[in-house]
Amino acid sequence: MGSPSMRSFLVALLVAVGLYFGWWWAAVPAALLVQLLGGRLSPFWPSFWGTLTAWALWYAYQIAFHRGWGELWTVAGLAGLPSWAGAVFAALPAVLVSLAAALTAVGVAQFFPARKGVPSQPS
Amino acid sequence: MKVLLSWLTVAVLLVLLALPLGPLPPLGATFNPGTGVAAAYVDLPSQTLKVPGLKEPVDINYDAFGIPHIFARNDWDLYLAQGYVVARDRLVQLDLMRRMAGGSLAEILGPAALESDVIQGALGLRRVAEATAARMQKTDPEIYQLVDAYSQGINAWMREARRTHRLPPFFRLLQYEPYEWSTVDSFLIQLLMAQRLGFTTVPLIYEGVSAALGQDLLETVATPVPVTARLPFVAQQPYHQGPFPPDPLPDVGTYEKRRLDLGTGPTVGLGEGRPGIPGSGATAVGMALVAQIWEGLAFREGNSDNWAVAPQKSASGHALLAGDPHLGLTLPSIWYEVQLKSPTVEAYGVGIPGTPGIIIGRTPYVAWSLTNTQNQQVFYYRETLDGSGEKYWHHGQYKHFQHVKVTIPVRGQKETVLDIRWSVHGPVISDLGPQYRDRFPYPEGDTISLAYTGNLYSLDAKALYLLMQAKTAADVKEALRWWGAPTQNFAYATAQGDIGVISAGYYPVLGPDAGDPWRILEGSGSSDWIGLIPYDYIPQTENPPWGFVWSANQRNMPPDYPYYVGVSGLDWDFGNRSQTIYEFLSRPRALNFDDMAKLQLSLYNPLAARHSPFLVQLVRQAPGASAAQKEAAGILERWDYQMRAVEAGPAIWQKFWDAYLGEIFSPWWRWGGLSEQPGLALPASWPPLMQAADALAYVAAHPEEEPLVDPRLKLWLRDPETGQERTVEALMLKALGTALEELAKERPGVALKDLQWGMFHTRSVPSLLEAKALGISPYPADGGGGVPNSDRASWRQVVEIPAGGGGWAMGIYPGGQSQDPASPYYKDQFPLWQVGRYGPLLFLPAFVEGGTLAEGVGAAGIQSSGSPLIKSPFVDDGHARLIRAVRMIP
Repeated sequence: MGSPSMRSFLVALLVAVGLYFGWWWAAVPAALLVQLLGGRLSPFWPSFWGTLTAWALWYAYQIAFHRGWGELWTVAGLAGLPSWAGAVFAALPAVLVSLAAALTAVGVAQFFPARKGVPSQPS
Repeated sequence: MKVLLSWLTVAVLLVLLALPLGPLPPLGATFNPGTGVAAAYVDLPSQTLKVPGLKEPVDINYDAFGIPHIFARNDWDLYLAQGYVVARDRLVQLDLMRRMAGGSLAEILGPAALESDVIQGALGLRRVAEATAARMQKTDPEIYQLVDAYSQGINAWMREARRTHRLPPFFRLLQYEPYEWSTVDSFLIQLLMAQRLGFTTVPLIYEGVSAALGQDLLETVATPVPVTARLPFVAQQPYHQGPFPPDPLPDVGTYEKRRLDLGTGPTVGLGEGRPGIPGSGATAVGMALVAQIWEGLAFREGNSDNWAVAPQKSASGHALLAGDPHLGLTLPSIWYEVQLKSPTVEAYGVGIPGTPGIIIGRTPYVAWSLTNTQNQQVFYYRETLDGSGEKYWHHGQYKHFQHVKVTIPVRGQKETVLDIRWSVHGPVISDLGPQYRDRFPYPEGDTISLAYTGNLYSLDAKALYLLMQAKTAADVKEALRWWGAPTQNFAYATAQGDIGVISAGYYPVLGPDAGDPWRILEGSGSSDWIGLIPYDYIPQTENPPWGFVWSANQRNMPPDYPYYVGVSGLDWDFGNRSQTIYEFLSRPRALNFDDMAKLQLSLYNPLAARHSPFLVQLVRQAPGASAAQKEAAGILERWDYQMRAVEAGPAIWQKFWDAYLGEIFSPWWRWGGLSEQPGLALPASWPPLMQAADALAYVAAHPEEEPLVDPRLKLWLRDPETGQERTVEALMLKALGTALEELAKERPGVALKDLQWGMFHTRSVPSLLEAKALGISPYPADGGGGVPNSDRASWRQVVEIPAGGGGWAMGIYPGGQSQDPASPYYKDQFPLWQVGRYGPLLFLPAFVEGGTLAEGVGAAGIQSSGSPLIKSPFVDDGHARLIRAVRMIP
């Protein structure tokens, strides 16, 4: 099933839709689903980047059009932290979810037999 | 192994993201960019909104300050729309205020808020709010409907915010959602404001001070009429000069009608069916928040001003009205600015979030503003118990206490249940236990209850509804007949040229055999309330021949006022602001619109003007005066008594005055052991002491005036330890020395002439949530206590009304409309407020289609009655524009 970049795109799409409904965990089933279609091929990075891209684009949208950065800064302020902590709040769950998605894909990929002639991908 | 590790890590990551981590909320849901905090911003685009509950469409123009101008086709829709926009801008504030009043803060903030909840639970605000709602439904259904509409507006926004993930981040952090708003919540907030302005523990304090220092000494300062009242300066000039009824009688009928049936069953501290709140959670915010909750109940120096100028004294021939209430500064502000228009109501001004209508503002024909009256609204009673402690002696028999059970949920721990007894007077506050004696310093071992005007049925919502329709002075007077608690001085001006002040509200009258109401009264019945001062005889004045009226928390009636009124704070205001306002307005010249702003921004300190020359003279004559004292005298001599942040004079003066008060009174407080007693460590700035010090200094400088003050005042000049007599002159010189030492200690290395008042006097506007980054940090500020621009005006308003109505108005408050720090309307009014400028109050005659009026275009035709915008150097015309139009549809 498709190239790694195609799979990244698919993951990003599914995750982005999930985020719209509040399903922050959507990255895990998305990675699972896409990797089921992708077999053993290149599991880690497409899911990782796909998820991260979806979160980043959503944040970019909120920051550009809905003062999302201001809200993150507010959270940092309420917690008594400097304003840059808002960026950490945004980035940390994004990275953790992306990691979870990537590891899900890796876990799924292990169920597929290694194919001859196909170099193993970093995972 | 690799597979297992992968799945295990995934599981761990998901758990980490799904569950709260210590004080942190669940990271996954909270920071989901689609529906988490980043999506919470509430924008104000021009749009059509579907708002359930409306009967007909409502149109709203938003101006450049984000202030809504609401145009409805009926009153129900008007109030509902107001509730909706307030909730949109202030939901966190609304939820916190109702919880603070109702005693359910600990439910969200944990044990840190328990003390506040216990006290509010004991005082029974929720009981009173519930009884008010029940009564109003029966006796004033048309007003209840409006409060209900307002509540439904708040709920409409809450549901919308939940649906669109726009609840403010505060709720996410504390992991709860606000429950549905009810009319009881609005009454709770009304009661909270009444409590802030009218509640007092003065009689308990006086009891303690009297026991420590002796009643004779206390009586020299704790007097019904301020000790400076007869001296030839006008610090305590009352606005109400009489004549008064020769044979005062109480209004028994109104009193009986306004008594609430509080029910007999137990009251539970919270409503039913609320969404659950997790047992643990982020309470760091809450811990900071509760630190300031008690500010409202503790004594606060009054600082509000208002005045009105009649056409004959006005340069334009139009009536003028100015007002600047001081309710404490926070972001968001305690005020919410709005224009309201329906076929019945047409008004512009500010209201308290959570209560419907406008409290300070104007109609096309009438403008009004409020200051706190400060009559006594709380009376304490010592209940005599039978052997069992279950009954108390009243009117010749033992009566059973009513037991009220109050349940206070506490986040993260078991709920707290209070059993508070109520006598006929009110709640027994000694049931709180000895650990609350720093809040209520009652004599140990006594059973003390309190009677409070806030526990009477108060139709403030009706008064405001009528005020918002007022066209004449008669309308104002009729509207204020319904005002109950807290008692307020309403200054007003009308298009017909009438001006006046009515100190509307409840004034309890005690029976002829009552004890001293400034102390704890006997609960046996002889000191019970028997009625209220009749409305026609409460302090009020209309169209005085000198052409102006004013109030500044000074005692508003002269010594021959025939009713006892007492005080709600520790005393009437010291009177300096009243003096400045009186002297400014009484000058023989015509006043204009800009003069009103100049007076609001005045930094003139009449106390310093009164005593500083005498101090300078003392230094000049003192053979042993130090070089520093002589230099300070030189600086004070050149000072013009303006409390400017950049000058040394105010710094020296204020330090001196504080030290002078300390020299007179601290030895007595030490001698009486008052500093160690809970709740009795009073500051020397206690107004009765300030007035005594003022009077002593004045007669020292003007010995010929000595017969005008109580000779017993000089008792304070005796050293309580040694019995030696001290002189005012010696104390003043000593105080100056102490002040200069303190200044040098606080600013080492700074030469006296280089000192600045702003080094010692700063202003900040903290966030309501006490989050430093979200507030305005301390900055050197002009002003101070006792000057009109004390730097604490929570709203400034000036209105000019021509004979035909309409006219011009400007106003400002130190904050913004939105509670959201990410919003451009969070503190956009503050920079103007800080430099003494105002925004134009755009009183639109009708909805502006399209919703935009560019700067300058609005200069004609958008004010009520087509009046052009006022041209004043104080007004920022850049904000005279509309930016959005919103249509609400059912």
